[in-house]
Amino acid sequence: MTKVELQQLSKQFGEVTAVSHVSLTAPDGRITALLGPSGCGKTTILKTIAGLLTPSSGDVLFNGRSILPIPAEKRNAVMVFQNHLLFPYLSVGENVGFGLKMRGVEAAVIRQKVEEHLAMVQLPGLANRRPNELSGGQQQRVALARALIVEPTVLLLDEPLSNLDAHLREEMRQLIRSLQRALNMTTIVVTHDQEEAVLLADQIGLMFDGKLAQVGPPSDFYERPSTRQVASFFGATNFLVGEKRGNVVETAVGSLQIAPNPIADGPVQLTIRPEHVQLVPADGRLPNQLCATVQEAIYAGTHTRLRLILGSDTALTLLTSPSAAKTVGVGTAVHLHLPPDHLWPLP
Amino acid sequence: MPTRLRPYLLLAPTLAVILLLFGGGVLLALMQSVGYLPFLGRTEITLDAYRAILQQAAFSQSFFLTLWVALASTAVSTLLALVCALALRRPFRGHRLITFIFQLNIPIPHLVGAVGILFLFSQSGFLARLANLAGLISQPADFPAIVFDPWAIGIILEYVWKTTCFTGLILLATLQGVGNDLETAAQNLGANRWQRFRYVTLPLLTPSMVSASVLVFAFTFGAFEVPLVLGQRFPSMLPVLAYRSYVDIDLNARPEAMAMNVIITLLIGVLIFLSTCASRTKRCAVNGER
Amino acid sequence: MTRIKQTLQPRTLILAAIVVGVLLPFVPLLLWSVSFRWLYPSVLPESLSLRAWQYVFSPRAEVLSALGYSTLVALLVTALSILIGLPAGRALGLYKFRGKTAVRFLILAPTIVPTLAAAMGIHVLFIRYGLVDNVLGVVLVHLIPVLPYVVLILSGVFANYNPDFEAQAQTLGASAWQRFRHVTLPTIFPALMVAGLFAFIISWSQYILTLLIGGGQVVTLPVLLFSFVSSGDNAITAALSLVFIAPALLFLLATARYLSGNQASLGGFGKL
Repeated sequence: MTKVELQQLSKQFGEVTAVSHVSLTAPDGRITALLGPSGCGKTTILKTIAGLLTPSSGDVLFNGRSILPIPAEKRNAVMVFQNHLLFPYLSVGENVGFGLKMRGVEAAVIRQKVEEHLAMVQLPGLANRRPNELSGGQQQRVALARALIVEPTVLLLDEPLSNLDAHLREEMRQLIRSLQRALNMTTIVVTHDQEEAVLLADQIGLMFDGKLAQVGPPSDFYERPSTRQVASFFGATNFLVGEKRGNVVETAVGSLQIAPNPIADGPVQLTIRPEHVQLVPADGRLPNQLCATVQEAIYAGTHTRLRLILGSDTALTLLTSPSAAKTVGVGTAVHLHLPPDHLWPLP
Repeated sequence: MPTRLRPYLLLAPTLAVILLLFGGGVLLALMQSVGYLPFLGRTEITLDAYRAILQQAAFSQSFFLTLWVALASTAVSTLLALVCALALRRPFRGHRLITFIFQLNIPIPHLVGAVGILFLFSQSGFLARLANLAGLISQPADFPAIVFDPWAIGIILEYVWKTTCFTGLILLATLQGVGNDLETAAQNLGANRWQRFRYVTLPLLTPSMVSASVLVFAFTFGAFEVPLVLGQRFPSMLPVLAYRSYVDIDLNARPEAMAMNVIITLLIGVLIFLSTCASRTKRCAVNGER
Repeated sequence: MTRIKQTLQPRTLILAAIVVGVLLPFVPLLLWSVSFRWLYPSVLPESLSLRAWQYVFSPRAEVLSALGYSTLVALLVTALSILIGLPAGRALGLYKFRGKTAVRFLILAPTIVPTLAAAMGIHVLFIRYGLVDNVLGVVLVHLIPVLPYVVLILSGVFANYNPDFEAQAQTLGASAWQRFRHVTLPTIFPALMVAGLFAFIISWSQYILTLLIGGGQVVTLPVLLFSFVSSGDNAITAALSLVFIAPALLFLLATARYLSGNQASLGGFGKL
């Protein structure tokens, strides 16, 4: 199938740099998510791959061959837009068959393929409806069928779930996943929602301000964020400033052991996810034990979020079960354990 | 295609036509008005034509007649349009039918409108006959002279007939675009019917009224057909005078015709400039108050 | 008591005045067209006849040739103005660019400055290039009043146009022509009809521009009608007037729903 490579891709709109030197490989047959806050340039990249925008510099390769000279309509890199853009003057079936009609495929063949693809997105028999008679979730699925019917070399999805209600989102996500697996189609998804990216993608490229901040499997963004910005975007709130020497970091609240890692010695910020901070009895048998005072307890149904103060002014957040949280009221002193495996230094 | 050039390329054919035919026409009119007529062997630049027409009694009479007709038509039709738009704004039984009738004369050519007014208002016309039936008059001459009359009432009637609907539909569209919310809010704040009209509806309609009045004034000032059907031969409306000079066998009249064209164009240009300035400051004030 | 009050509301009077005011000028036109003898002071024709209508539709009359000229000129003007004005409407509706206000003003100028003045000015050039006394010249001069309206109406539809639909079609494999044919055209079709009908009616109604440039050789319906107005044959004038407004009425039936309401077609004039 198709491996998509971006090489030093940049795009400027007048004075504004939308995308700056982005290099990224979307592996064949996998889902890659381009993640980032709105306006970070991710949709610009998607449109550049589709051929709707011409890059200012850099290259886009499909299976090692530059596709920049190929016009959008010949690239077969099909984009599904955020607001699904079903042609309102065509029936659902005519919408799905649009790409085949453009290629001059026989009407009978189109009809048959349209039925197949409507069935594929679980909308069999709706070919004669009008798009405005369908629900938002159904419209999105019609748009997906319309893209899949031309057997795209690359499927480009722009915020495919953002217009849907929470329960439809789950359904649509599973549909995209299962179709992508079944068709083994290289897919690039643009989203601003980190949870969506994690649930959907095999690989995530996180972007800020037109630049790629980190690329890797979803777990990397939780376990090995490359910068504080990346960690924050994925919900990290605990940062401890310190000086790293080997596997020990000196911080304002004491020296902490960390697991071996490739970060150079020197000033670092340690981060630990709230769910990894543990409440322990004060027995001193575990490393990285600290004393703290509970400042605030926020009940959130499945868990309780505790805000703690260490020493004079170091704040930490931890998540614990609501039952465990009942034993520690606001103002009580607690003992914490920061497991070395979960302490990750940021440069 | 370079994106930045795209709109200009798309505009090129239209701009070429407008600049060449319309811009070129205005420019050539200006050149001929100052005596530059190389096709007649004259290239000396002179303001003689302007001097000549400004001294003619016929020109100033035509000018004031035209100004009167344009101002009267614009004022009457704008007022009537306001009344009609307010009456048609909310739905009632038969709303669609009456709105349709209100639009009916929009596409009717002025020439036909003028014929209709002629048949209606001439001294032996339909209304004169009705007046006779009612015992109001006995002779055609008793019926007031409304067409071919010195006050150009017939011309004004035709313009009012046509342009009231034009302005009215613009105002109606504006009213429907704005909706009722602001007036409801004003009512909630204690404004009575008159105050709601004076301080809410009228200011909202003012920009559209100014635009429409400008269009109507410009049209009535420069139009030709209606005065030809319904106007006196002397003094005639300015465009008719210009056309008569233009087709005069005396070629000296041609620069004078062009000078009249230039004066008509300039006058309308100045008016539009002033009204744009006025409505812009007005609009800014409205926006500022919001 | 309340009933009487309701029926005599000022609005009812205004509405009645609208109906009478708009329709009244058509009454003598209709009556004259079927009258044989209608002398003062009869309110209705003394005797009826279809003479005027027979004359209007008789093959010998100039009416058929005038209808032919009018239709030919109006159709050519409509096609040409849409061909030229469609890209401009797109540019004005869809793009932001430097000088947009000036361009808009320039394009709309002919709706305000009398076109007769420009036509008299350009007449010498038309004479030099052989564009007088023929259909081509008349078509060209009709473009002056027609084109601004076409551009204005089309820029209105493009102001609410989402070009992403074209991008979507392109990634699905549609070529430039296919995108126009299968995306742009169906989307703007209603506005295109309105623009086309406006173009047709404006061209159809032109009298003095046709007379000036056509030089009495291109005798369209209004030119013919005017000669009957001057001749004083009221019956034929009336019948010809009614023939002359027929396409206008068809036009209104076809586009009434776009003219009123908050549709952009006429509302656009309020924002000049």
